[in-house]
Amino acid sequence: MEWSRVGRLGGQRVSTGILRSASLAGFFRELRRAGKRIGEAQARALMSAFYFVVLGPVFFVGIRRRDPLDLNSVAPPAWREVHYRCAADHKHQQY
Amino acid sequence: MYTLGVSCFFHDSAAALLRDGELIAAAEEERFSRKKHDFEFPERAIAFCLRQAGITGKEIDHAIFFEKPFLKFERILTTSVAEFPAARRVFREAMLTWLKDKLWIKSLLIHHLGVSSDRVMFSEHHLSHAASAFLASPFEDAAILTVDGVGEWATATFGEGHGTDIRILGEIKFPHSLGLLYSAFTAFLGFEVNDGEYKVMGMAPFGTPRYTDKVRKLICVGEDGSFRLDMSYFSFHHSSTDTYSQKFVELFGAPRPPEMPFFTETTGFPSYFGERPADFAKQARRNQHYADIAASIQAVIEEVLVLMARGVQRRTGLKNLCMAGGVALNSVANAKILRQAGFDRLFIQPAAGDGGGALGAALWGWHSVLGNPRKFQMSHAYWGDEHSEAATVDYLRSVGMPFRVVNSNDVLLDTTVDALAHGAVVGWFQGRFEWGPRALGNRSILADPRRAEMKEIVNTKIKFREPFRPFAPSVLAERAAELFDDRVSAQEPTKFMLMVAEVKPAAAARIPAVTHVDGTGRLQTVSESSNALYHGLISRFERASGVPVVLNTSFNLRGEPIVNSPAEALSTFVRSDMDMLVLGNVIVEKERHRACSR
Ligand SMILES: [Fe+2]
Repeated sequence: MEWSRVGRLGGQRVSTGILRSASLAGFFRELRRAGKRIGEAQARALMSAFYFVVLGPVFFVGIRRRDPLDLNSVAPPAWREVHYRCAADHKHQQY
Repeated sequence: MYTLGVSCFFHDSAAALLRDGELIAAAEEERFSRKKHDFEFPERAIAFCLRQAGITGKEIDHAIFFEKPFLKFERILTTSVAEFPAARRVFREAMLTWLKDKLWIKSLLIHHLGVSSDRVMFSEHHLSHAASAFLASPFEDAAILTVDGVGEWATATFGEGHGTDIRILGEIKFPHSLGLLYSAFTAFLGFEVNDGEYKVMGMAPFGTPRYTDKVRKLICVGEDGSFRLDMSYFSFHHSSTDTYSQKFVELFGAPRPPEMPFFTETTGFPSYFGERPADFAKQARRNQHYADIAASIQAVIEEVLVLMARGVQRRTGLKNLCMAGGVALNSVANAKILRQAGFDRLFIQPAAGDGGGALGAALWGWHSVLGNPRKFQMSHAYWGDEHSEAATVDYLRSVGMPFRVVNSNDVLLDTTVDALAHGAVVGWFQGRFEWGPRALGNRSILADPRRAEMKEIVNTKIKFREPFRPFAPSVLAERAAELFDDRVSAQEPTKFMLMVAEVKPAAAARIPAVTHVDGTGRLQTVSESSNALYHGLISRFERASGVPVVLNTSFNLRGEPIVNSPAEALSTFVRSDMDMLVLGNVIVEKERHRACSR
């Protein structure tokens, strides 16, 4: 595998070439991995910020009193009625 | 006309393909990717379906996803906000996967298959479950009950099916979920959620349901089977790693460590666990406590399911019931529903969990959207991939494994029966693999059910299995009533090993290896029309042994998906102590077994 890489790079089939290409490939692989890790860390930080800055106020303003998960209800449990949706009407809808 | 159903991004991803409304291929991705419960986009399963039909993705007329992704996304957002700030990690991790893949399923299908956007449709999660059961059933009219962990918002629904029309009438919404309640106990008892639920069911008969009152503190149940969980005992609604809360632990005590070997005074200490510990009695008592908890949650789940089914029967007045969703894989509860809920007949298709959503989506598209009449019934489960004799022989040659090819079915069956009757454990690999999580005689490990010691032998040879691992009796359909509860054994789901039946007292002594500690068996009825070769094998085994039953367990090692290819079968064979492997008409034997059978 390393030989063909050297070939594609136009290098000589010599051990130094293999080492160079292997270490280069390894370097780029590590670089990609590091980039991915940094990207994911940034995304996580961004999502956490979004959670506290945007969704936090939504919680305090609206959701808290509405109890959308039915966590505090004292009424006896009951099946929720489901309204009929014609299959042809919602077949392309993703919601 | 080709209709492709796809399910993915939750538990078990799968694809199912209909040609003019008839199922021609269905498989879960894990069989190809070799990742248990693989939930990624099922590209290999789709490729298999297309290969089976001899078409390309562009020739698919309709591609149908099994749920509505935006509705599910809304549930995750709402839950994250409602559980502020505890759900911050769930939100963060969910957003990474949703923004990367899950929201773009439509584009994924369009690009992967090469179809235009107007040919992509979206069913609903529980509607797909309902369709997978009702539209594959033999019933023209039936009540439908679907119960699982969670779909978009619903965790359980009931409704009716008439002809090609399915109407969902009522639902229970997240986080109140019977499936997630069972999963919380699965985690508490040291098993993996979405994988070890059947182990809880298997462990339950070793215990006494002495904690049902405590379990009832977690769930408030109405007379019609509707229910609400006391969420203070759970954390699955705001945590991606924990399912139960500290309050749960205060109620039931410390959770069972996953690595703790399971044994009680009843099971004894299995030899394959190694040397009997000095504190056997103490450890057995500790395990007994966990078995009692398993028995208690199983008892409560059965109670609630029977109430639900009874309520649905009263409301619909129908005598047939179709069930689906992961909870419908609870074969003990299914038998109770049949006996106590007022239905005459039950139908559950073999992939009752989320994998089956692919089939349901395809059937929903074909019948409910396109309005085509019904002509398909799921009468067997063999919809997966198969491998030719030439490919098997080539593979065995390439790895230098000695084998022999048998050119007559008579010789093949006689050789296998002879090995079984002499106590051999046989890997039985035939035709197309099964749809759903059960091995039903095409990817099975077989043994003699008459030998009580066979449970331990199989557990020893097929390493690392717990003593409560179920060993199922595969029984000739026409003889099932002689050995098992007549009413249960006559039901369709027994074809797919989805109901547990009492073993008749006179029969229990004849088939001890497949009789569970509580005197039941999770039987599979085998008819000639559904699997002629397997039926032939059991018939010959009866002639040799006097019992129309073989012991059947899935062809895999612990933690691995059931085998798909001859290479995987051989790898499992080599890594275990199985004596003989039958790959179609090709027989491979271990050295010592060859020497003994000479
Ligand atoms: Fe589901």
